Formats: sequence, C-alpha cells, structure tokens
Amino acid sequence: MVVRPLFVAIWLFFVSLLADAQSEPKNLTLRGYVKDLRILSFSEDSSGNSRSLQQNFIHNRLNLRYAPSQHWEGALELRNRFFYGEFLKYYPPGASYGSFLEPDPGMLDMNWSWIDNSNLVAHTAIDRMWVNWSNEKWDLRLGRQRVNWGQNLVWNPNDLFNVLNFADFDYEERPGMDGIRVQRYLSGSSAIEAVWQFNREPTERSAALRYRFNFKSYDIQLLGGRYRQNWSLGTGWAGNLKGSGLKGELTAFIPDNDSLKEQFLASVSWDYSFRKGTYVHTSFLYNSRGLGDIARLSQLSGSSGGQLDVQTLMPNSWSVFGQVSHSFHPLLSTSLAAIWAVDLGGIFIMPQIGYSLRQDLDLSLVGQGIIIDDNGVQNLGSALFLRLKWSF
Amino acid sequence: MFARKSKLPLLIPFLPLLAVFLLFVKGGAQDNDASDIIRKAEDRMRGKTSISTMRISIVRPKWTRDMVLKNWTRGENYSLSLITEPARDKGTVFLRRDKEVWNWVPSVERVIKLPPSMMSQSWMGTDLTNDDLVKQSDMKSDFTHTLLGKEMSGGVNCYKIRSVPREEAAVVWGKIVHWISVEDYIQMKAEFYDEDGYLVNTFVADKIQMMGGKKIASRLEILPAEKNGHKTILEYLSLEFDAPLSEDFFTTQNMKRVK
Repeated sequence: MVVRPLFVAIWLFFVSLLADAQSEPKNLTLRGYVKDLRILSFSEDSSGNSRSLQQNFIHNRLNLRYAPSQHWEGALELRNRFFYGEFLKYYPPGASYGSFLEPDPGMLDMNWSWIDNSNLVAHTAIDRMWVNWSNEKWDLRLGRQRVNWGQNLVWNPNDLFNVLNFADFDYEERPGMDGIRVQRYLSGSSAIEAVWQFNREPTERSAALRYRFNFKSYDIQLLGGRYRQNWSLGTGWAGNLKGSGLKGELTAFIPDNDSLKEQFLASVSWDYSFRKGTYVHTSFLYNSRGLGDIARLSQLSGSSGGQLDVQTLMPNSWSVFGQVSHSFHPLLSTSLAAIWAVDLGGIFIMPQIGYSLRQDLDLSLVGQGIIIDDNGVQNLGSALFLRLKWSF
Repeated sequence: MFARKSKLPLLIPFLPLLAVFLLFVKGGAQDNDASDIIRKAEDRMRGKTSISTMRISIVRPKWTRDMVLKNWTRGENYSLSLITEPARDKGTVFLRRDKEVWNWVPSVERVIKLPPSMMSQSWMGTDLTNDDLVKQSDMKSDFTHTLLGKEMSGGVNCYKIRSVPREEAAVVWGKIVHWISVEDYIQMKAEFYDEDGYLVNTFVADKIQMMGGKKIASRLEILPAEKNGHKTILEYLSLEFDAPLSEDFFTTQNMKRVK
C-alpha cells in the first residue's frame, strides 16, 4: 500500500501550510458558500395516497487553496452539511440517515457523519485534496481531484472519472476521484493527458489516456484505456455550426469478463442563443445497454443523492433533453428543462427560477418531477427545492 | 449546473472591445479635418497588447450590481478575461480567439465552448450587441465625418463631429455624434442615433488621468435613452499597454492558470 502514505503526505502538506499561512497570507485563499436548502417531496404510495416529506439542510463549502510558488499549488476542499427535520425520524436506529451518507467511494475514507441522531445529522466530506506541480509544458496533480473530460452539457459518455448529474443541481462540484493526472502540453491547443484512478476495490480502478487538439475551430479529443472491468475507446468534440454550438461524445466499453456486456454510448448536443437572450439547448443520448427499468428513472432526482457513473447516465436506451432559458430581468433567470426517456414513455421535468437578492446572495426555486405514461399518466414523484445561497 | 444565471457573463469576452468602441470609432482615410481628429482619438488607445483591471457596474433606480474583471488582450482578436468579483463568479474565465469563445467554470472544473450566437445578444439594457462591436471595429471606412464646430463637454473644450454611415455600410446606427477633446484627442462623449433619427444611447467619459503611459478617460457611462436612472458604468482600475503577451497566452490551458 503505497497510496495511503501519499495521501497522508498531502494532508501533512496542508497542515504545514496552514501553520505557515500567517506569514504569507496572499498565497492562501479561502472561499466557499453557505446554502440553506428546503426540499418538499411528494410521492404516491401503492394504494394511491399521496404523501409529502420535508427535508432541510444547511450546506457549507470551503475551498482552501495554497500556491507557495509559481509551480506549486495545493487544494483542500470540503463540504459540511447539517440535516434537520421530520424526515430523519423515518430512518431507524442502526440504519440512520448519517450512516446512509457515510460510505466514501474513494481510496481514503474522508466522509464522516459526526452527529447522527433523529433530530440532527452533521456530515463532512473532503472531496478535493491535491497537490499540483506545473510548468510551461507539464502539469501533474496527485490526490483527490476532479477530472472532467465531458464536452456536452448534460450527458457525458467521455467523462470516465467524474460524471456530471444534471439533476443534482446542488452539487455541481461532484465527488472527486483519487489518483494521479499528468498532462503534457504540446502546443497552444493540443495536449496529452494520462489519468490513473485508485480504488480499494481492484474492479473499480481505471486508467486512461486523452489526446486533444483544435481543428478548424473544433475542439476534438480521442481517449481510451481501462474503465473498471472494461476496455474503453471514445471520441468527443465541441464546435460551431454557423451561430450554434454543436458538441458530441461517443464511447465504447468492451468488458474482459464474460459476465458483463459490451456497451456503446453516444450523445450529441446543439445550443443556440437568440439576440434577445433566449437560450435553447437540446441533446440526445443513445445507450446500447438500456435496461428499460422505469423505477430507475428516479435516480435522476436531485433529492435521491444521484450517484451516477458513466455507464449509468440513463437507465434506458433513447433519451432526449430540451432546455429553454431566458432572463426576463437582469436579476432574474428562468429555465425549463426536460428529459424524455423515449423507450420508457417517461418524462423528467425541471423548471428553475433564480433571483439575485444582493451582490452575493441568490435565491432559487427549483422543481423536479417524473411522469410516466403507463396505462394512464402516473406521477412517479416530484419535489420542490427552495435554496438561499451566500457566496464568499 | 449549466442553466445560465445571467446574461452578463456571456458578454465578458467582448468587454475589451466595448472599451475600444467607446473611446474611438474607426474613421476612414479621408483627409479632411474631422477624419483626422477621429483618427488621432483612435491612435491614443492603440496598443498591441493590454492588461487591465476594470469595474463594471449596472445601475438601476432600485439596485446596483458590480463586477471586477482582469482583462488581457492582444490585437482585436485575442482576449482573456478573469472575474475577480463578486465572490459568486470569482475565478470564472472567458477566452476569445477570433470567433471561438470558451468559458472556464471553476465549480465544475471544465472549459465549455460557447456558441457564436451568444455574440449577438444585446448588451445589458443597451441596444448594443457584441456583433455590433466586432463589426464596428472591423470597418475602416464605413463613416463620413463632418466637423460641426467646438463645444464644451465634461468641462473640456471639444471638437463636435457627426459621423454618418455610408449607404452601402452594414451599420445599425443612423448617425453618431462625437465630442473629442481639442487638447488631447480624448473622446468625451458620443451619441448614437437609430436610422429614424432617435437617440438610442449616450456614452459619457470622464476621470481623465495617466494610465499605462497614456492620458485617457478612465471612466465611461452608458446611458440608454428614455430609461431614467438606468446606466452602465465601466471604469479602468489599472491599465498597461504593450506587455509581452504572445498568442500562446490565449489558450484554453492558460484559462485555468491566470490569476
């Protein structure tokens, strides 16, 4: 086990820089936010009775960065969440909400529920802890980090390491992965990148290469490597078609284990902005291993925790995304997004309103609902999110 | 989350152009006095590269929002802008290379390519769009300039010049009236009229001072006509010309590094 001492070394680096912080304050930055989130979710039980549940939590993020020299930088980023409200009482002792939050998917357990009772759950997770060294040509990063290879804005078949979950709007940072990333810049717009992801489970480890370049105003990337128990090969691009944006990603997964199946994922997206500021965006996803499991559509919901990986972007085969957003007033933003799971006959809807109350204080109201047409329209569940966010 | 919070950030790649637009309109190569004055005003702000810090404030009768940006530019086709305030958007970077625009979103740690149509959005309550700015600064001989005389503006004696687009020119304005200081050739004021002769926007400059080795008006107000209490203010907090910035500075990988 070489890895554990490495993480301890990173941790020590931070402890020492904190001790050093007072002597060189300008190299050290602390930023983040505090959010108050109220979730009201509605569902129907098997006998058709509707019930509602309220969840509340305070979500605090701290981003600490230290750059002692031009070449070195370190990051320690964590989130603290404090949950309260009646929903905690539905979790029995021994299977409390705090224990539900605890598992850490990474190499080192940096996820703690340090208060865990039926009135209050306090949870802290370190989702970034890395040291970076870079010069003109090289960039090396070791530790818990985010490697974002996506080109599309909703579905990212190329994103092998930290896949985005569009519906989980309260955690756009996503959990980090534990590993090493090495980048070699070849020219202004081309680079080769190698990433190794560590994991306690050998079957969860990945390693891949990416080569990216710009050709005729298209950003193009080619990638391949090991993804868990598969060989993977993919390509992606981001370019312009007249005034609109055209992006796409394709990835094939070939397992070396007979019990697993091959998988091919393709997503293409198009977006356009009108003169008066209306923005439209549409995207398609094909998943060769769609299971057609209606119940799994609920994984999309932001209130379910939404842990996706690149192979489970959608549970079905054919999906269409559409979004229209418009700013009616400089302080007000509105957006309506929907995902249509074509072969399931299900639709996920997500309207949003955002309002800037003060310079760094934002209020948002978000709705999410899943409806299926299964011998009559049925509501699979819906939720309302009210969020107040203060950034610092 | 990729739902666009506000239009403002999308326009940032073009802010350096706006500053250019405000301070001088490119004149034709005529040899009359008015064109000469316009050209001298234009030459004042010319530099191959620039590094600046700029505060942009949107002022409305009931509220104000500020944003501070650091801009790096090279010619008219390369610019890189970093938001340093407010905290919510701090660290966000925009890169423009000719017609390609990228956006670094620090919270998702990703470079996102933006569609070119975002260039034609109107500019924060004014009737000006990024497209206008880009086209404007490309056109060398679309206007004929007439010297109307001298007039005081902002406490400074100015040449008053009327610029009318040539018939074949693809310009949205019916005419532009400029006030350019007699002593230093600094554009102090400009009025933009639509094709029906109605005033659309007024740009007013003040705070003349030395910056980057040049005497310039460091603060600019954009006042949309017929909207009382509405204005947009741009103010240079620092400005430096001809710093060594190669094309390689304006790359997607550098977006993550600038500070």
